[in-house]
Amino acid sequence: MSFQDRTAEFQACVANTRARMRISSSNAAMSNALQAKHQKSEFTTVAKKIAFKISETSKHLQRLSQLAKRKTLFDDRPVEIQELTYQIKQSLSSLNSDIASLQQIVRQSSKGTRNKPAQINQHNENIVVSLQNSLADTSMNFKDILEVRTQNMKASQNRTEKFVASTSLNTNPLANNNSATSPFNYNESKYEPNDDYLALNLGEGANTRYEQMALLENQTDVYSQQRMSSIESIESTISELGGIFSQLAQMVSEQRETVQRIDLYTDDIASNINSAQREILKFFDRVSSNRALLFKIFGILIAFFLLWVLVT
Amino acid sequence: MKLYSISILRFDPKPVQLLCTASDLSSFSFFQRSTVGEFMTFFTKTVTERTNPGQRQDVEESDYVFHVYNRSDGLCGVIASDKEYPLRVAYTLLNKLLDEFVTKNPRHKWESGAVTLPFPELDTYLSKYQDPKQADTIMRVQQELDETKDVLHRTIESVLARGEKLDDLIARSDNLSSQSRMFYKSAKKQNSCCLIQ
Repeated sequence: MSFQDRTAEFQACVANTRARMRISSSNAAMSNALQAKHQKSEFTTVAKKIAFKISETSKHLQRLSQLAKRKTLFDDRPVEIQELTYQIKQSLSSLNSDIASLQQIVRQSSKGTRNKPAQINQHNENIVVSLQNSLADTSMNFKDILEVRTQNMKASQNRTEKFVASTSLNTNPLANNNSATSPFNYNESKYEPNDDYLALNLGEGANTRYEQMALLENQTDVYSQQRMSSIESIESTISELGGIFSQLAQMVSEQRETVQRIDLYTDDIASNINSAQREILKFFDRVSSNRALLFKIFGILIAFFLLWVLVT
Repeated sequence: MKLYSISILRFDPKPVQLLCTASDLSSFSFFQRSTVGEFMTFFTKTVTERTNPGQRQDVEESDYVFHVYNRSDGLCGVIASDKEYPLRVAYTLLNKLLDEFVTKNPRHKWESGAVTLPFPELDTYLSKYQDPKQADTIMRVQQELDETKDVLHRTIESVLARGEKLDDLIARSDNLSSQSRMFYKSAKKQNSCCLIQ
């Protein structure tokens, strides 16, 4: 990085601001400007603190990712990882609340002083949005790292299983604790993968990893197995529900065909009855008009008879 | 299924010290309450002393069960409940409480001496968790899923009934259709055939 000597520029800036301060001589403008600066500085100090915390958290996160990526069987440091995870979680939640309060400040300040130019408000809002985005990125990274860690733990456990065939390695609680770190229990901080295991002296200079996992306290066993079984039952219930829904859909689609047939039949009925009604109407007309015809015919016949009688 | 009391103790610097406690002894008669309360406090301390750090334990004693969770950072939580209270919910509650306690009161406050720290959430949690089915997330989810499943079963039954009714409707509309056709034909025949005399 090349260093530039910008002292002259700095001094010119200072002289400039001093001149500007002298020009704005009215008290009200001065105090207003000072007040605005105070408000702004409150916002900026809070924003600075939040940004600093975010950078610290991301540093911790980097350390955690380093630890989590190690695939060694033997040198895993669960206590440190656990502490880091806990710490990061705490800082994430506190950052969340801090950003929420910062947003409050921005909203209040934008409602309060109308004389602030809209750009400053916009700028503050932009800062808040960018802080939120960086926090969201950090939490996404955190989640990814947790997933990587659980996968690595599973893989290393498989490898240790291959080595130790006879010890009573109970894989269930560990798997359960892995699933416990997944999003299901993400907000309940159940990060206790290793602090419930008692060490078993395997007797032949076994590694710390074995000692951690080899014998599990009965109670934790019961607890984690219970948890796993309840979660499994929820899973099975959900899949049952899925099956029921698909059955329902199938039945309804079968009935759709039936309904279409009924529709056709009713259309037939309607048309038949309509035409029958027309026929009957025609008939009725014919019947009603026949009388008129008969009258006319009889009338003509009577007229002819009368003629015949008159002629003869 | 009842919770009798919840207590948080300090295990690490050695004399086990009761940090805070909340209890609900309303199910006992008025005169028994003080004795039962003392018995529970005494038992809580004993059980905590006998549990190693990083260990969970259940201790049964006449009618009560004490669920102990000794965390490796020096805090220990004990729940006294009756025998039917589900284990998992008790330990979940202990986890949650201890975490909250630690966030609220950082380590230096309870590390030394005989301190009693106020923690009002204990009472709220105690009353909330008297009904584990509502308070515990997993149980609530399971309960809602069961209700949904019940509703779906009833829906399927009504869909079956609907199917039967639809079949009935088909037969009847078929019938009606043929009858209306006969009606039409006879009307037409009447029209076309011989004139009425």
